[in-house]
Amino acid sequence: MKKRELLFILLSIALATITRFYKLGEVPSGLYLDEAAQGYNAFSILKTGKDEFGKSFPIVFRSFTDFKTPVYIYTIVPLIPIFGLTKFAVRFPSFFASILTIPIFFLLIKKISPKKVSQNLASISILLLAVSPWHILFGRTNFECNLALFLYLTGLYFFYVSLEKPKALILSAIFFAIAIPAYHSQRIVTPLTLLYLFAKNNKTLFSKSHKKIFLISLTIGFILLFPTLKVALTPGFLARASGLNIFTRVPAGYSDNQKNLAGFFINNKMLLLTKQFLALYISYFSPRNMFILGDYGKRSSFPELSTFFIWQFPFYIIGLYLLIKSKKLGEIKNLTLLLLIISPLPAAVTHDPYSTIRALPLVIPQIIVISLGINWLYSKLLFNKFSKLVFLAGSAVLLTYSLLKLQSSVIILNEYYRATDWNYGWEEVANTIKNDLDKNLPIIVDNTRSEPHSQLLFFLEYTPENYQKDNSLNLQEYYTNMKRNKNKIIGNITTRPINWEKDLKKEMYLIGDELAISTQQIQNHNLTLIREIKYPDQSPAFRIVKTNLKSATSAF
Amino acid sequence: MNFFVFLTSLFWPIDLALNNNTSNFIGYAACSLLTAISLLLVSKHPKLSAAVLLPIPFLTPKLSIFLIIIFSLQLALKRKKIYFFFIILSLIILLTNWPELKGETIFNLDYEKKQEVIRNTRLYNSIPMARLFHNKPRIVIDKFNIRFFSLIDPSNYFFKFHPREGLINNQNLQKFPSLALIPFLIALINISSKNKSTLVYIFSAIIALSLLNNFDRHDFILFFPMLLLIKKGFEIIFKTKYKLLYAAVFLIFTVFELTRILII
Repeated sequence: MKKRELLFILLSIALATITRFYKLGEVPSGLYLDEAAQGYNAFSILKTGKDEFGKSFPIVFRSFTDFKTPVYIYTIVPLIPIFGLTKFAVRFPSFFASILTIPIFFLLIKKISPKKVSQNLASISILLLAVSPWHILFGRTNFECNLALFLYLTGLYFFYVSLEKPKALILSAIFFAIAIPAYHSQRIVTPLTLLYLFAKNNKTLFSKSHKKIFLISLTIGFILLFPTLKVALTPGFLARASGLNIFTRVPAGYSDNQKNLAGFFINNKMLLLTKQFLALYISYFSPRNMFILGDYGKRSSFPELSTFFIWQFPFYIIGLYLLIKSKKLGEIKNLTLLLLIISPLPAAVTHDPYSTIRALPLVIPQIIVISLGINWLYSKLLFNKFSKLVFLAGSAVLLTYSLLKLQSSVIILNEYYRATDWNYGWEEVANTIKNDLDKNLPIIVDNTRSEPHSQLLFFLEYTPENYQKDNSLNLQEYYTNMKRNKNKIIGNITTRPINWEKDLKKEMYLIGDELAISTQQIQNHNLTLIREIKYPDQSPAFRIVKTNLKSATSAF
Repeated sequence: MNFFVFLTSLFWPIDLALNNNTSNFIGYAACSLLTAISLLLVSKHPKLSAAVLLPIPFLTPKLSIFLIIIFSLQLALKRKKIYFFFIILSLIILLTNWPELKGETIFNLDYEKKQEVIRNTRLYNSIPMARLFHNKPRIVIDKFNIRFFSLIDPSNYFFKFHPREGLINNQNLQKFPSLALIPFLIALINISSKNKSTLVYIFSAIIALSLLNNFDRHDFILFFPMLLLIKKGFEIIFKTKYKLLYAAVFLIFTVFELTRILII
């Protein structure tokens, strides 16, 4: 490896570490319920070898009956003895995977690009990935997609290595086999990629040098995937796909008023669904979504920041043109086109517009496209020192601007505007329960608008054995029973909607948000306000109150 | 092939006519017609082509900016002095229309946005950093960006802004058949110097429309230049071996979409 390449890798890793590690575990300061559930299930596995329902080493985690993918949760397990059951620990695998993605991305591009462009293209691409808002978001928070992307890219890299060194095929098979259960969208992206790789390289794979290793790799891959395949047809495994896809819903554009023969034609489900799918699919290439709007989800985007920086737009257009027109790009062109085509597929069959979580693999080809555009400009400016200097100065300005913009959106604005979306406040609630409340009194936590049991379990570090005992489930139906029980028992804490008539007749604590326990209710029922937890914008997040038996009898 | 171009050309005018009253529609249609005539004349009769555009600001004052941009671009590209004259003329027209126009552009800052700037500035410890991202010029730039990227969004023209309709004030018309996106993209990839004028018209219109608070319906001036690009794409497709397959799918889908426009 040349000195310049090493410098670029180190610089990119440094930038990636700064943008992802700074205040990791502190920002976002809230802990979303899925993050808490993953953390607590890892804690439960560590302590008992079972998940929160008492199931030994599940293949997919039942959790909120959304059946979470397992790989991320199992990677948290060894981190808990080191970092404790903390926000840092649950977000660390995502961070670590996103850092490891940088050198793998470099090596992959270097491996499959023509020599003439490989060094520049790989260097620019990893630099862009290091400061990519899209990749940073999922590298700072607990999302399985980032870990899955790392596994997938590593599998790809080792596959290309294996074309020269057959033994690497085993590593490729291992990484691909772990990538598939690591995140839902990889169940589509990885097999399609494997189909392409097989179709393109079947002669090499069946050649004398590769045949034996290829068969061994297939066997290893199959063994690793076997547990997943075993539950692949259960309602639990298919829960996400069946709950989110556009095919089981009324298609966009369906007109209720047209019931006659014309209605039969204009409400044709197949045509409407095809159109909806095309619209959703195209939206992943829309510059409006990429450079202005970003993801519609408040947790999968940062305020005032899209998935790419707006200054990258001209390079995206130039890069796209070059990618399609150029005949000298070799395998990097094929792979980029393949990833551009297949990456949005899992996201485009779900109804959410521009879902960056499900389409995360798309960040890779789109960054390659932008890098092609930047590399083109660089090659045009190579002719004299001055223009080269202008290019470098311009790059430094843009990089500084991008870093400041990240600081502004990720650290400052996100904390202020998105605290509710990140379920801010449950840590404070748990601390109050631990330190300030009478342990002999029952506590009701209102769950009308949320399911806070995972956050309470997480922050209280509640003993898994006790929780499993009090919230049992028929384990025979673990993957098949789709009923979701929102009400949970955590020692003296019960999560359920507050029943004012009954609850006021007992001495207990009530915990709820501003709507569950309003100031008016506190006044009317003569409740004692123990603590009010506030969001960063100073609006009330949660109120903890104690009932007053004497006034309760007069109230009803 | 002409039949497919004809089918494609029906969408935007019909949907616009059905969603607006007659007098409004005639105004927008007249501007679009003048743009089309001007574009057809531009290579052989540049003076006449420019003159044809002059009535547009009188029909729709909001489009006064369009003239200045297109004449400036023509001057930069063709270096013909006559365009300088047309720029002066369109500037005079713009000034005449200014009272009607000034409240309709993105330069008109609303109270809410100014308050947002003040609120956001208070969140930062460093004032220079706060000022870098939250200031009055930024409001204008952001407004421009939102409009510009909406105008270059394929979903605007081929999918009624789906899946992200409703984010800007818009009638969300079905402007072209969804499958006309394919010839449109093919034409863009195969763009040549022959299409330079079409691109100049599209670019000028997009910039001018991005400067308006609400470009909805005024963007009908883009109809003909875009149709020309789609036509070019059709020409390329119909030379390939996939022409029958594409034609069959396009026909089924387009008749379905056209029926929906007419009935719903």
